[in-house]
Amino acid sequence: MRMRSVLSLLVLLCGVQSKVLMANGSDLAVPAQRIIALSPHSVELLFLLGVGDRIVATTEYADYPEQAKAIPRIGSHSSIQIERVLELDPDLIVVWESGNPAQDVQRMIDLGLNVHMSRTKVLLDIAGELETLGALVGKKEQGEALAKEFRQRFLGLSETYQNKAPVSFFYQLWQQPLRTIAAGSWINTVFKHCGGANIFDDASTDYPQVSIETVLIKAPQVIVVPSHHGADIGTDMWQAWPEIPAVKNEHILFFEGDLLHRFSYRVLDGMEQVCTAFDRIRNS
Amino acid sequence: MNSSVYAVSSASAKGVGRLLLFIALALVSMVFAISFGAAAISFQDVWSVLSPFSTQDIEPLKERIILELRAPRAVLAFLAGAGLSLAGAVLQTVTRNPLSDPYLFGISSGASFGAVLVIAAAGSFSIWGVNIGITAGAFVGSALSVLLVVSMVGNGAQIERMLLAGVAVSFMFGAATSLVLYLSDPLAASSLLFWTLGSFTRASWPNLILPALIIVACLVIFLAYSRSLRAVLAGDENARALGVSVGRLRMGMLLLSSLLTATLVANCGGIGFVGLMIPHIVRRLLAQKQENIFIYTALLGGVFMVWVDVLARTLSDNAELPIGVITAAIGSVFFLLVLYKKDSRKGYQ
Repeated sequence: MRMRSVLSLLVLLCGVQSKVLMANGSDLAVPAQRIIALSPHSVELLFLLGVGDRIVATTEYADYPEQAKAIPRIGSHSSIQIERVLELDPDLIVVWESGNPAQDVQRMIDLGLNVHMSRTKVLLDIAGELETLGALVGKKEQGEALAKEFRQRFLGLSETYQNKAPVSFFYQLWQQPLRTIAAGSWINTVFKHCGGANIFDDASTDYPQVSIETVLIKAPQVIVVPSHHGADIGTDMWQAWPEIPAVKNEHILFFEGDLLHRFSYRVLDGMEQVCTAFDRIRNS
Repeated sequence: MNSSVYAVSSASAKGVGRLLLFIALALVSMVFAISFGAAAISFQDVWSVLSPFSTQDIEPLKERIILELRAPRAVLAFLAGAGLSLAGAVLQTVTRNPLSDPYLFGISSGASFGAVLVIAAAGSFSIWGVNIGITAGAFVGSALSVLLVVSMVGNGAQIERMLLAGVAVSFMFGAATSLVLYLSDPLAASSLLFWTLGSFTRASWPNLILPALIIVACLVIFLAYSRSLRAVLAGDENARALGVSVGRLRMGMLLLSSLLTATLVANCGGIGFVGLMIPHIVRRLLAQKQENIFIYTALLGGVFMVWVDVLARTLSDNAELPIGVITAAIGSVFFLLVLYKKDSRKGYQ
């Protein structure tokens, strides 16, 4: 008796599985209508493509544009509520390779859900992501147009500023412990193309922890402080060290962290701010 | 008659010599430790800044790095090592349990939880305000854990109840800290984790005053009570026969240890194993009866921590390693070695 019920359960499960897989096979023909976007940047890109209203669930910190704040949350960087995912019956799930837990992503793939993996690693990947997402949601032309615009704006800024006299900078990613970005970090690209020279370019990890004394010795012209989810992180400690040119000349620059830390289209706005601010300091 | 007087004075001369040796070791260690770091600063540079006799000129930036970044850090490391070792030594004495240390009694985890909660709630870091908040949080947390342990123990201050209550409280606050870490965003969580594992990066001269005062005060009290403490070591009955009020002494020492620990956790996060290991080493080096065993414990603990901090700063190019990880790594290997040696000796007997 028990054996039989176990068997029927198995059959039932297989049936469910194959049904999902079949539904999967035809997903590209029909544009996605019920989207779960599991990163703040994919939410931004989907809104840009004009399909923000199709997002049925998202993750913590997806706060742009304003309407995004109303979307239900079903996960964070540490976990995704798979049961809620199934309940919402999405036809497209946009996951972020480096921002969602790999186990949860794998489980969603195993469950036969239609998962698109966003693998953005460098700045220009954002253009590619716009094209891919555009195709998936039936907005191929908009996606391609936006991607083209993104590349043009990026290259335009880069051509104007990259080869100007380098401005040395320290990027204060976090304060306790003091953490920065190095050459391998994609955030660094923004600054490189604005003609900035990272004082920790040679570090062997992408987000190294550093000591105040190294910053003192390397004497940057600018200290860049991104906000963190809208809140400023402290910079009081620098005031004690006028030996640093950035402190002496009051070149501690504050930027909105969400503009610089997200693979969204708005990163170009952040880049524009950085380029013009650096140029002002360069010419001062 | 003459010869016995001579023997006493030579023993005390030997004691003074040994004490001076330990103090010299501590001073030399700190000066050496100050010459290690990210910026290229030599031992001579450090010497010329610290020594009143040196006339050599040194770059002002280097001088400031030495005086305002490295020196307070070395002193904080020394204080932390000294204070935690003292707390461990006293707890081991009053409980007659070689495994007692501030961790076992939940003092450290209570303090860590309080501090972590403040850091997580503050979100952003404006150094001064948050520093005071963290200290207060650590104190409240440790006071809460001590209160819980004490309320479980009752009047008798029985050792077993004390230890069991301590373990339970320790797990409770440990779980609460993990929850706060889990719920924080990744960058904040990594900085909280770094902090709970112990670090001396926040060292500054004003921050050192409170820990220094409390450690010196506790050391004086421990020395004043060392006779009673030695009596307790020989058994509760024994101590009572000598007129020691055991319950009160035990409770008082527990409170002092938690004050010591909370002050240090508030300044440098959670650092384990030091309170456990250093008293063991000192007991091996010196006879248990030694009057000023607490002084040696504090000095050796301080020296140990100064070198641990040097390792933390120099082992990896890209990151400072958490202090607690290094002390635990050294401490656990040390204990395994001690056990192994004891075991093999038994085998030979």
